Amino acid sequence: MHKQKIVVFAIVVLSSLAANSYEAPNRFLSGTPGFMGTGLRQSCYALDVPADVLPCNPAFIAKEKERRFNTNLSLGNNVSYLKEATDLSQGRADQKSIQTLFQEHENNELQTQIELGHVQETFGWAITPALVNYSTSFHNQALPKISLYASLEESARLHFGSYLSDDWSYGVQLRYVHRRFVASQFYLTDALVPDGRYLFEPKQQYLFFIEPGVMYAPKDSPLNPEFTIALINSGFLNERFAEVPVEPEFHFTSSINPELEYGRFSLGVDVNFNKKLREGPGPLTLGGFYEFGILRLFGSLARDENGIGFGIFNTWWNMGVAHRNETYLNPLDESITISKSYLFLGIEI
Amino acid sequence: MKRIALFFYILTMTLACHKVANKTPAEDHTAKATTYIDQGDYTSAIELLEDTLKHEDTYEVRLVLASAYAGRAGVKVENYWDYLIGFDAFAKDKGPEMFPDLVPADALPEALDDKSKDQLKMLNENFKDLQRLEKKASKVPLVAETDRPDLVRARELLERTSTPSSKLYRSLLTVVLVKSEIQDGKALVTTWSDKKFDPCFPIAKGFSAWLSKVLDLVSDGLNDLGKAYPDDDVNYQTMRADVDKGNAHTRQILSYQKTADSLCTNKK
Repeated sequence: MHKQKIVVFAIVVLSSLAANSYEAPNRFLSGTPGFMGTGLRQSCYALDVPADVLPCNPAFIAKEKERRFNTNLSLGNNVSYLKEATDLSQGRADQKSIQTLFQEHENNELQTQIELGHVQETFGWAITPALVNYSTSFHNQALPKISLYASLEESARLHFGSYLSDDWSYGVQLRYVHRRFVASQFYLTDALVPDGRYLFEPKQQYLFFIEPGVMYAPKDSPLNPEFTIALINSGFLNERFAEVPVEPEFHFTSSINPELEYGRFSLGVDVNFNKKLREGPGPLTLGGFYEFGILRLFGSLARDENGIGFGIFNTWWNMGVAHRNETYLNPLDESITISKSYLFLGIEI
Repeated sequence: MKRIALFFYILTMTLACHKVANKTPAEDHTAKATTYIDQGDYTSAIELLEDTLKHEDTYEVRLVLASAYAGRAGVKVENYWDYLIGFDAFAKDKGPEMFPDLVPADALPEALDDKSKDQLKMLNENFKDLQRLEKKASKVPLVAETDRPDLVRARELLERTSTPSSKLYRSLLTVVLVKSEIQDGKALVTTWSDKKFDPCFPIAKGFSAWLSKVLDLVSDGLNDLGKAYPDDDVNYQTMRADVDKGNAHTRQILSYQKTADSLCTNKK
């Protein structure tokens, strides 16, 4: 009982901590990059669908039956900023690259990654040699205030799992991430004075996560329901930065997978409990997909964002497009919606 | 099992009831004002922050309020940021440009004593310096006389800030103001030259007062640049001393003007 009190106390204390500095956009820290992660967002945890190489939710790994090797390249908007984003993340930015970044005076976003991995029965691994995230937003044309996030991540993931009984299974994801990033919010004139060089000094973070998941899938139901609980972002890191908060997330998911004559359909809902329930897309995300032959259609819906997409998964190559809308309230409580499209290319061996 | 259920219940409630950190009124108002500025509604931003400033005088409020005034006057750093990177409007290098004398040697009144002639030569040099500065500031806008009070207010707000960044911003606003004032000065020169630089022409006194005002602004701008770039402060202070010296001469011309006024009265 004493231990229980300590745990509860620790949770309350941690929850009351308020970050005051600039935080990187949550979508870059969610742990679900790539094609399906981008299109399905949090509902990716509820659906038994390969998210590029490995499923989002480690609880599904025990169900894997097929053996495959994938190499994927996903490209987002503004790929032309790739060099500037990697230069910034690695501390190679000079005045010229900063000038190039700010030439457009517009809000920009880039997320691109290359991933390769292998999946077989109850086991899988994936390596991401490079995941580049980049986001800028500009406000106040009279004296531009700039929010900048640029990161270069290398990561490795290992999934393993097994059945506990006919209905119960478990899976564990071990995830290692090395993140180099620059996250700043500043006025343009801040960047032009001698102290401004500190704004672009990259920071490094090493993270190691142990992310377990449990699934209950009763066999005798016509809708083939699946219920999972997964703990994501639980682990260790070398240093905490307010700019890139790492908060544990509890995902409670349920989905139905009715058997169809043609194709495969799944509809699921993810409830994500974390420290920032009132921010971002909200705790509830509904998502679904339909697969028929080489075509896969999918979509997701949350409080403040929704996405749709399609993919063509041929014998050895695949490609897809995802489109996402995000809605947020500006400081004047006006609703603003922004739309983004992503392109995905991959090969399968 | 009950303990696990209790644990998850407390965890869920704690997370669900966790309050997002509230912003202070000043932070909230600067965010709102920034959105007004994004929408081009500078007046609403000014009204909001002028009111905020009465209750909460912070650096951010001053900076955003100054930018709202500057934006309303038509000065948008967004359009001149590349100019700011190579900020050298006040640079000492005079460059190869040649500018004509304000008061040509052949237009100097013959009756003037040597001291007054030297002071007029100094006036010529001061005016040439201003024209060089204006040429270097070709990328910054001209602000109409009716909008200049907004620029003056923006500079006033930034005067009591102390960061290198705000000083750099203030010096840019100073360049804009100086450039706009130089245009006024040119108009005065044109009118005066039509009268063959007659020291008895009423505009002559106004011109000296104008020049003194502009040199004050230049001196102020150099001082701000010294604070923005502390490593170069010595250079900027040297340049400032030169400008102040020139301004002292201009003020002497103003005092000479009083003598000229009495001579002109007698002449009439």
